[in-house]
Amino acid sequence: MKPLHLLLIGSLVVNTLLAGYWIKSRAASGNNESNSETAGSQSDSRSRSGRNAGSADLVENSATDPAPNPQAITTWLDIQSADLKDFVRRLRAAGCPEETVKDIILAEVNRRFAIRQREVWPEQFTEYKFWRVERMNDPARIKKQREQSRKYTELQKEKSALLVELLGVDPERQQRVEDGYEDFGNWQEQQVAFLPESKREATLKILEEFQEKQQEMYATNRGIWDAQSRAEQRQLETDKLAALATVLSPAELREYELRQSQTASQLNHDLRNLSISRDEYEAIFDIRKKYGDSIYNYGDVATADGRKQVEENKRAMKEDLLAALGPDRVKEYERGQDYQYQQLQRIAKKNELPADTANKVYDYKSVAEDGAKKLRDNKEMTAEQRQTALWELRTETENTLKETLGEKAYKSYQKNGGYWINSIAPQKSPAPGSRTSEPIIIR
Amino acid sequence: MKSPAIILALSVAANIALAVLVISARSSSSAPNIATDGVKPSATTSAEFANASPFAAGEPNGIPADEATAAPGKFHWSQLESTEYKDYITRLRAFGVPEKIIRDIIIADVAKLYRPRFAALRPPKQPKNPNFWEFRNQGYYPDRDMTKEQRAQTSALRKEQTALIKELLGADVYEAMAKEAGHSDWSERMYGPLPKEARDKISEMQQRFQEEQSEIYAKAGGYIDQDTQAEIAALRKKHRAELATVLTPEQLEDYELRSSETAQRMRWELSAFEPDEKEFRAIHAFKQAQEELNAARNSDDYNPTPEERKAQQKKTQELEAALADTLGTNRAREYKLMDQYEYRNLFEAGISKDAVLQIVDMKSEVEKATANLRKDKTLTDEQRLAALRAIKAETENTLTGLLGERRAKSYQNQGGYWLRSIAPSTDRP
Repeated sequence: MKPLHLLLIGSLVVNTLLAGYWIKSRAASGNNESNSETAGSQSDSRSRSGRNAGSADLVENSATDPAPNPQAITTWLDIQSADLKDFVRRLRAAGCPEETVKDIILAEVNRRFAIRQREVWPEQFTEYKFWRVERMNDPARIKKQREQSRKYTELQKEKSALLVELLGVDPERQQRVEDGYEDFGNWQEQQVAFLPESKREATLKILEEFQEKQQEMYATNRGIWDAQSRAEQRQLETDKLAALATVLSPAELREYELRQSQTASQLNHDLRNLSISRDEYEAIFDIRKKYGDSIYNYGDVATADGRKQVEENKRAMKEDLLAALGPDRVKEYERGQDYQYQQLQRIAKKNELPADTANKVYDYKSVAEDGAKKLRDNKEMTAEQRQTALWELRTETENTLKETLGEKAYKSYQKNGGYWINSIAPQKSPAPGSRTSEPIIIR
Repeated sequence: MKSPAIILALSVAANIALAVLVISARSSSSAPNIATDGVKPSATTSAEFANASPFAAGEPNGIPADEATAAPGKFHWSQLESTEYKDYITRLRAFGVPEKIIRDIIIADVAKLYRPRFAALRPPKQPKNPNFWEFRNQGYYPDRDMTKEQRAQTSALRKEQTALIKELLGADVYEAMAKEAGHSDWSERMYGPLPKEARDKISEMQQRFQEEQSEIYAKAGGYIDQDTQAEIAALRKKHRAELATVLTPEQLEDYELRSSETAQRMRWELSAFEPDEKEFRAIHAFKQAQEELNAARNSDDYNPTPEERKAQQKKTQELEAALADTLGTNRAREYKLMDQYEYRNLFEAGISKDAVLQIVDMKSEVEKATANLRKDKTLTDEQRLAALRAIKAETENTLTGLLGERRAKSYQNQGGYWLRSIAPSTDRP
């Protein structure tokens, strides 16, 4: 073979190799652009069509595609994949650090689920009109919002499951826990956290079912809170406990009631100013449960007999409490529910006063009010003498309170719960336009 | 033999051309070597991570982890990485990574860089009290439990983090992301259509206001008394004055229509009134003016002279007249009813406007009739009582016809107290 022929053959081989390499590079570059467009158009088409890719769609299709050989990777498009499982595999095959894999996949999953979330809450993405109001108590609106909430929660669960499937962990949940927050998807999960894991799902299902029924009841009654609504509410609570009894042991049901029932949430409010033991709590719980709402003077308890019965129930409940807790603890229990005492506690806390300040002022209030009553009942005094004595009592009360609370906290108390001071004796009115609001001290 | 020589020449020329194309294609995909600015990514490099990752030895979902590190001729992610963010971004771009993925990577990475610093400012989490009956330590709310200093430092750190992300990815990065995600522009929703510079300034003012407001709420410990209300009102006034330095009066009004407390409350109170834009604007202006008058009345040193009192009454009448003028007679009447608890309840319960207006008229007639009966000296006490009870019975019947039995009864306890004062209840002597 002639050298010329050899050179020609060699050159043609080089031609072929170079042309092949160049064509491959162009194809990769072309793919890069077209894949970008495809990725974009995929999400666009999902949005337009209203069809959502479920998590199964997101991961199944090319699960068997082999990960690319690192030698074949020349551009991002050799890594990118519309199939998330494949995408993870490709990122890992390319040596992408696991932390970055998580970042990329989490963002991509969020992007895909955002489209579906938008379909759940389309109102949030419409143009904002500041004058537009919504009928807050409209049953149809409430029902729709409940449905949206339910769908949103389901979507969140689905997303979390998908992330675990892809990455072995839900990075958002992991971060929440690392930051010190509770590891619960929502407050309902938190409600049943005290139960064994095996019973939570069934319990949650029952609670959700009854929450739905309760919302329906509210929607039907539309703000009416009468004997009928209260009876419906009681019946619902009874039915709920009966349904829970089918999945919970008696001890678990008791624990649920102590923590989550209507009586428990009432006690959560009433006992917030009282330090108690579990035994005391259970005693109060049982007594409150026994009397239920029969101790409240509702506006529609119109008859004299009805009102009398409420008073009788209150008296009987107090006797039960005295028997269970003793007089001192009952006094503390009652005081804790008094709005005046609660105000005092807040003011004392806000002004960083000693811990017993609220108790001192609260006790002094009884003393001052008793003193004023005695003066008013005293028939031996003339009207003028009585008035002077009441003013003196008021002055003494004000001075004592100022000394105990300090000037600043006293001023705050006057406006927030301390109105009873005026009922000892009316303050002498300043002249109109005199621009003084300082109390007149009678000496 | 000339042909092989010609073909060889053509082939060599083609080789040269192809070589140029290949070299230019390769050079366009290699990362340019740019200057760095000293900001370093937080994420561990792939090689470091391979040692630390719990997934390196095998994946729970069957996805194999790659243990390879950079080797000649093989791509490895570490080739893209850099200790400098800007360099890292340039390499990612050169590799063809789409901009949105670059944003995902960088924003997450920067967040990791800052996370330990944010964590250091959070108060330590107290162990949860397992005694549910003690009702304490029920939740961990780091923002609530922070000191003022910690809140200020957290805020400064957040600003620093945002500034870094904007520096790396562009000043409009967040707007671009929101647009891509199809989110409405929250700042436009809140501030109205304003130039970007004004928005940025207002955003800063708003942030400062929020921080100061949080401070007041934190101090209040969950209970808003009159003192706290006064502090909040003073802060709002200060904030409004500050906004007025940047916004024209029209822009300020637009901002307040969207974001003020008054506007937020109106959206709740007027839900059954369903105002249009013009009505909403008029009522908002009316309420703001009313609030200013009330703020003066509620102050500690409020003790007006008779002249001042008269002037205030006149001002109130003028405001009401101006509002009625804008709304028109019928809508002004509806608005007034909506402002009263007893009628708002009925509207919100879905009772028709006609029925509510009938009740309003009936109330007025009944009050007149009962006043006349009480003044009538020709009647004995028994006759007067019988007549009043007859009016009461008739009124209750009409109400039942309009509202249904349950709601008619319920109305008496939900604002319709005037029904009770027509005549004493039959079970009372």
